[in-house]
Amino acid sequence: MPKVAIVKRELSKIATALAKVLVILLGLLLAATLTSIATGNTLKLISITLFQSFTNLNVFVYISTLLPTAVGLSLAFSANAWNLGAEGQLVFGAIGATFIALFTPLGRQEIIAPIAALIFASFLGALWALPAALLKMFRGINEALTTLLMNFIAYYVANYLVKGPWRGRTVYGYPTTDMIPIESRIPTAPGYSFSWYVVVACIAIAVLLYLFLYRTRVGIALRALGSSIHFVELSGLSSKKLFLIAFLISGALAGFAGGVKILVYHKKLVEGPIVGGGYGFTSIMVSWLGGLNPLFVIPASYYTAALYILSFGLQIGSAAVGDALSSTIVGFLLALILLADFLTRYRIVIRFR
Amino acid sequence: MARVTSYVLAIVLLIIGIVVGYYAGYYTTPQKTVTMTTTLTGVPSTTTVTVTTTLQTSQPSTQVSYTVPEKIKAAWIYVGPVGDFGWSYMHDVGRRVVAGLFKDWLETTYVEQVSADQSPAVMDDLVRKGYTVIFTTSFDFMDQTYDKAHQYPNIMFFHCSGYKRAPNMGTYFADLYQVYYLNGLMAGALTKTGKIGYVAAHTIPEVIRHINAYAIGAKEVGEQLGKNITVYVIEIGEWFNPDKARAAADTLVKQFNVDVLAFTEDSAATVEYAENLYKQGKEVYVFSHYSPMYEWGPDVVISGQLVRWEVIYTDILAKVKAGIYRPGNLENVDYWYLLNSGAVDLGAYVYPNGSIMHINPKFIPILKSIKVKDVLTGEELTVYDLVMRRYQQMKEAPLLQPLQGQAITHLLESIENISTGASHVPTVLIAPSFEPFTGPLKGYCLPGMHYSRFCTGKPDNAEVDIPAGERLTHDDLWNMDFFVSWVAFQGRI
Repeated sequence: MPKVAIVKRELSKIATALAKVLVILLGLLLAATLTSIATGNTLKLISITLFQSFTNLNVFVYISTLLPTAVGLSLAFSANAWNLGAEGQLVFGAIGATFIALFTPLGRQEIIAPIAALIFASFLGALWALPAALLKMFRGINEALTTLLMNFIAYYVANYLVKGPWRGRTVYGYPTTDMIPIESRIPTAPGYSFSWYVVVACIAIAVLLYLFLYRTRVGIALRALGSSIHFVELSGLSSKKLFLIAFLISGALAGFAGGVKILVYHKKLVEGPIVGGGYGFTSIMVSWLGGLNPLFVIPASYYTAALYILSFGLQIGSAAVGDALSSTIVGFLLALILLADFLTRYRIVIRFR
Repeated sequence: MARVTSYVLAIVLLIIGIVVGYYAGYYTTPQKTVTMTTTLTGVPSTTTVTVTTTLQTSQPSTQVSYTVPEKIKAAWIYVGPVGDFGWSYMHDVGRRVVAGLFKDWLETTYVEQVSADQSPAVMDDLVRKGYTVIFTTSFDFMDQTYDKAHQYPNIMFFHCSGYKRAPNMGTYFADLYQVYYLNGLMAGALTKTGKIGYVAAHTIPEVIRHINAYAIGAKEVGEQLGKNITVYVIEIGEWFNPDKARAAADTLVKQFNVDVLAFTEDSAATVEYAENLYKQGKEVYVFSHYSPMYEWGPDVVISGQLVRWEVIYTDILAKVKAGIYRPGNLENVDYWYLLNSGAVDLGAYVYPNGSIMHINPKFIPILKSIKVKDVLTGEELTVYDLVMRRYQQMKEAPLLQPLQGQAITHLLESIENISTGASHVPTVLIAPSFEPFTGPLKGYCLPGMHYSRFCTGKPDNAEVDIPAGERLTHDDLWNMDFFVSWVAFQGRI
């Protein structure tokens, strides 16, 4: 019997990045080949669709949601704060943004309205993360479980609002609120469906969080929390407080993303699962794909966003790959990423005796 | 102190990040200015006034120049998978029909499983790939389609089931309420307990209309047979959720003793549920919904509602090709097709040759053995004949269809006839000779919904009283916010 063992390995940062990029390129090539075989389309046609998806500026539609959420999560995960509740925090952000835009006088002030809505969205996102953090700090309850379950509560809170007190007066009984005022909507780029303002804000957030995490004392201590609590405590910082900071920031950023979804894309509050759309869960993967480094999360979110575009692009026109196959391809590409991540950190040793 | 400072630092950094980022974006991106050039006529020299305004969305500022392309490229956006065998499936059947029929000049494509927030990006992609006619087939896409219609004044958008239109965005819908009424007639004849059930997706006017029509049909027959008809309704709050539909059907049968079911949900779950009960020895009948679901319950499906979107798609695309529909004149295009147009039909199965099985042959002998009176004429006939008579009455209205395609003529649809003054053709019929929603009808307003002239300004649960002989108009039907009195709404699960 051969013996199989998994052994940790340390690759240099450049080697890791190179390996990941290589796997991504190989994966795309493989996916294109498989698709063309499965559908009888020429490899050229599939490759063109691939290229178009990766150069389509609408990737920013998805980046605007995935990037802030994933950046927040990578901060939390580096601090060993297992926040799996980004989806719920995102939904609460959406609720917050809708509240400001629709039910306060601020919603009718140009420029102020979206900023106020986003700040309040971040606040509510953080607030929704707070109970799980407190339960962990004072009762030792596993935060992964509590945050995961709170996602569903958030869904139902949004459902309650749109089917109950917040249901619009001009929506013919549909479970949505009325549209938010024009002043609080964030205008989109002509010919596209995203907003440059939000994109710039998202990238700024990623850079700022990188600086915070790698260049400030608190940030460095946060990252150390993942490996050694004792070291952090010795340095004079409270590990509990650091944990709380990590949790709240990740919640706030998910809430920010939720606010963006309302102000740019939905322009009204809809049911929880539709607002969330699973982006909170996808962001978890994006943050790992970026190696929990806010700067690397930028290309990671770009790649994931391009795959979203690809899954629709493949269906259009002569390619005409159905949703089932195009989702399979996208899933395959994402699975490859996890494999790449694994292989850069561990190696498999097989010994024959 | 240091700890508190670091706290504050983190939060302040975050807020600064948001604000700085926002403003940076605001100032670094080019201002979206739209230059509107207006040439003033009547001024001696050609004076050009240039007005520069910053707009929220780029709106069509000049007359759209449009020529009918040699080849029309049309795209469909579906909210669900084509394999849902409900809503999206039937839209795709419609697409396949026009793709085959107009293959010489029409190229079609579709994108499935698109959510509301993803739909704008999909529309961008379709426009970039040269599609000039885009059908968005979910109510969820309404606002997104409306926004995109403003962004792309040269593209024609058609949105299914909504109420927002633009110069280059029309709306269309095929309504099933008359078919539900016909289903109700049969339900009233076949129920033993007098209790019939309805699994509703959402209590929106469309579904309320279906429920009421179904209840009106059931009472018309059931009352004559000495049954005390009550329609029990459970709302599941989703368009597609087989599990919830099954649970609601189960509650209706077990708790309310219902023995005939109808539903608005995009799967065959309710039909399968009834078929399983039949195999266990309990007879609960059901009407298939939207797509032909007979094969899922050959022992229990009495009949059902079918939709034929191809009727509308053929009309739209033929008019696009002929240059009748162009970006710029769709503001009033609003199809509301009923039984007379063929866009909806009575049935649960489509034979391989394309003809429709209106009623399951298993139930025809029973329906032919039950005698009732036609409430309009007092004549005695079998339930089967009554269903067929009503079907014909609603089907035959040749002047109706031209009125059903335009928002501005909808209100004329309920005009019963026009006197011509000509001696040999004194009257010409407009509306079908039978309309389920004709008074006397009594009902109650639904809480939280006040759209119709019957419930606007009234308290929740206020009584609705429609006088004898009054026929509801298009707008009354479109805004329906009340249940007839023998509908018992059991809330949402």
